[in-house]
Amino acid sequence: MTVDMNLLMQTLKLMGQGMLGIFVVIFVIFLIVTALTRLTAGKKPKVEIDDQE
Amino acid sequence: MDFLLDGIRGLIADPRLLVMWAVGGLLIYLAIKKDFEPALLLPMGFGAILVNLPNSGVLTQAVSGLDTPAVGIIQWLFEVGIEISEAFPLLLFIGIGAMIDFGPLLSNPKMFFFGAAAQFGIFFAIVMAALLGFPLKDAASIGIIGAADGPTSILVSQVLKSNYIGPIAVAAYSYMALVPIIQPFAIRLVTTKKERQIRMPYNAASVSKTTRILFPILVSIVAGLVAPASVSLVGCLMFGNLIRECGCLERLSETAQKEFANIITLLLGITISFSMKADMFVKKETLLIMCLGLVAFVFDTIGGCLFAKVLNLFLKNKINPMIGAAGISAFPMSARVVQKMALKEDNQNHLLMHAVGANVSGQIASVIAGGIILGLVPTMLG
Repeated sequence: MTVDMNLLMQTLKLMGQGMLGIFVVIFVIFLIVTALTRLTAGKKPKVEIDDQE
Repeated sequence: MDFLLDGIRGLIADPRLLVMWAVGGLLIYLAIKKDFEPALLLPMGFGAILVNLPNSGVLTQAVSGLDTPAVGIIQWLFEVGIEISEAFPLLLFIGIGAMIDFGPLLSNPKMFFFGAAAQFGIFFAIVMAALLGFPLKDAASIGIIGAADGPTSILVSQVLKSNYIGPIAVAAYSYMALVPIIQPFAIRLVTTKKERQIRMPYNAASVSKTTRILFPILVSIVAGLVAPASVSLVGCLMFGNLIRECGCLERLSETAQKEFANIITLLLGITISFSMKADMFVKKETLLIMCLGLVAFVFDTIGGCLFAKVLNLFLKNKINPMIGAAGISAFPMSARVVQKMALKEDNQNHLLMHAVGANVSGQIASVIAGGIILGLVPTMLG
């Protein structure tokens, strides 16, 4: 069986670009979600201290 | 009365039809007896028998004495619903999007990265397929079995005009059903018992309704800007999710999750059987594709686990590498597998919520992977 080196190099390039592409998209989504979560987080309710004592 | 024997003559002329009856019977058996993705494998199995009957009326046939051919329903469904428009797999994503609760992922966004890492098997299988002599369009279509996502596999192989849509769909759905067997084996290959016992406390942040609503919109925009070819896949998935999360379309959300998804699933299963005609399926390449599909699933799992292990070199709070394995798209099986394995190693180690987060991330990452392949491969073929 002969290996088509040109095709092999194409698939390795596809692997590199594909995995990089997925990580880039996921990283951008991660940043957006992190920012959204911080921006839209409700304020923690203040603890009322009963000072009657 | 000679015409009554036409069918028998057809069988004798092409005994491969009998092989496909056996394949159809096997799929029906797996669906009913083994509960392997029955909603898809049963229609596919029955359809495989229908399209492999000699001169089958479900396929478009030339009729002697008539000017126009008699249109066969399965062939028509395939041409309209998959070949021309890719409508069925895309519409199914609306239903899937409506079913997914991204809450566990949004509350623990680190899990996003495991979805990305667990797509490694797709590209590893593409390289292997090329080494075995498949041309690039077929190698890429075979690799996408590793997306662990039936509609994505069908869509990508159809858009790339692969010659092996039938075997790819069968492999994708069969291996999704086999996740509880494949993943534990692959996880044990690359993790130690000590690593599998790592505990991960779950401190989920609360997720606001605004985040839940903006998430599908922003993900669609980001995916569209970076990988435009993924818009149809991501867009349909996120449209379904927006219907679910908006809070004002309860009826549509219910319909998308149940009736709509069921109808499309039913049609997709029987329609894809068109690509299981004997002349397209009974080839030695089909066996190779089944093997490569398994390789893709195993290396998805290995990719996810190894990514977690690399992260652990730099993290103070260690990640259980099994979480990486949950980054494939097979939801919720993969998360359940990880939870079950974690409890087996340590009966107090509850990883389910982390695993669910990684698992739903896998659903997003797999459609992005499909879109990226659709963007890159035609350029390379160019």
